[in-house]
Amino acid sequence: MRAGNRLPGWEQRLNDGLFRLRSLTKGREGVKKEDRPKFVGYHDLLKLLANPECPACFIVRRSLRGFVSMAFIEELTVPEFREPLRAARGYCRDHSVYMREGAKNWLRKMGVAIVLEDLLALVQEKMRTNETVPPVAECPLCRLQKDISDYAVQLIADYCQDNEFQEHYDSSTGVCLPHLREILRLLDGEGKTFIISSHERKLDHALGHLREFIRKHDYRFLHEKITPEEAESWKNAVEFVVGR
Amino acid sequence: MRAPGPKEKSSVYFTVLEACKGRGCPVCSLLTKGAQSYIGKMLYENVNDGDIRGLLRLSHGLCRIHSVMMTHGEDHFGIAIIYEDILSHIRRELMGGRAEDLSPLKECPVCSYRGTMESNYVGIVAGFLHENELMQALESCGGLCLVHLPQLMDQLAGPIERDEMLTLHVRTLEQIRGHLSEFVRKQDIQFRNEIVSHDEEMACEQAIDCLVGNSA
Repeated sequence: MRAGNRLPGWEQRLNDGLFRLRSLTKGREGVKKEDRPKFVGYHDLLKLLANPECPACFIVRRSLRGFVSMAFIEELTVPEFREPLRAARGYCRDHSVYMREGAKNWLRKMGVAIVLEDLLALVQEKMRTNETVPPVAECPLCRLQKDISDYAVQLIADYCQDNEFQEHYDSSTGVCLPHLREILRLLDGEGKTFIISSHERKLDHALGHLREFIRKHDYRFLHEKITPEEAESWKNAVEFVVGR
Repeated sequence: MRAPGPKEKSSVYFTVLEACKGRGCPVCSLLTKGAQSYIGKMLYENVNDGDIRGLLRLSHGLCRIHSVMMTHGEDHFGIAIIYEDILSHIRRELMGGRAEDLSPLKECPVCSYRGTMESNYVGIVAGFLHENELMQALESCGGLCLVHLPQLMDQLAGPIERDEMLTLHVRTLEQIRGHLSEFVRKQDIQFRNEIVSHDEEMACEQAIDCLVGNSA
């Protein structure tokens, strides 16, 4: 958190939440795996593993969407929300999608319009003094996304040795490749072995479906019916490589 | 054969001119079309091209934005062939258990193609800005987005051209701001009976396109 600079309500609450969750999972190295506290984040994670998508991507998307949708209604007149946005000249190309979503929602559209008018006025003012000044700060959502993503990755890495978690993880689609990389950086020993072997099995499974999908496009096997899993295999493969 | 002069109009110039007939930044719309065409060719003609497949293996396929664009297309079979290869490669790398081995070694090929095309199009606009027809076309579409405008300004040497460009964009921003302000004003209970025009309704989208561009 930035020293001496209060964050807007939603971001503040999110950061406080992340801090509390981190402190709950901190310093467990000496704690037996069955004694580790299983707090709301853990149970949320177990629930998310039942969905056919990377749980870390889902947590990031859900949090960013929640932050943006509340900010454009509740934090509209809070300088701590507007100033970073002005410094970054709005959200980046990736995150502008959240603003576009807001512009399609009748409840948030006015907030989005007010912020955009302010940003354009700022740029126009610079242009009048013969400048095309590039953004002076990073997109505020990029910074927030990194924090949330780190939290989600840490959460998964923390429970990799838990039997209940391993059962749920094994039967899920697992995390995407970008998050898998981050998890592997945090792990060693038994947890790392579990994640690698689990993803080896998941990849074998995905490759099996992809190869069947390709084979059944051959004119000799066109009469064979493509299963729903095979029909989705190309989409799942892309999603695994880049996340959602 | 006659050597081309420094200001000879190429087909790219006319492509840019044509793109100005649409609404919004012409460079963005050309880049989106270019990316779509690259992906279409990659999946249809180059799916078994060894060089392209090697490149895709190293880059782990396309980046997220271009992957979304690719999955919205129709060629699922091409995607399956390419990603079968990429997943097999990742599966082999995973056996080493090192996070570093799972990182892409090259940039998304569509992004690198896009980078080349971007400087090409901006260069064409900068090189022919003295042409009345291009200036008028840019005025009619509202100029470039604020991502491509600084790139254009960097290439403009003459103060007159720079001033003209800035004036054009200040005018465009003024217009969008006007629509946004009207939209906000009409949300007030006192003016709820006034009808929000189409331009005012679309002003948010237009402002976002102007700020971050609309290219993939």
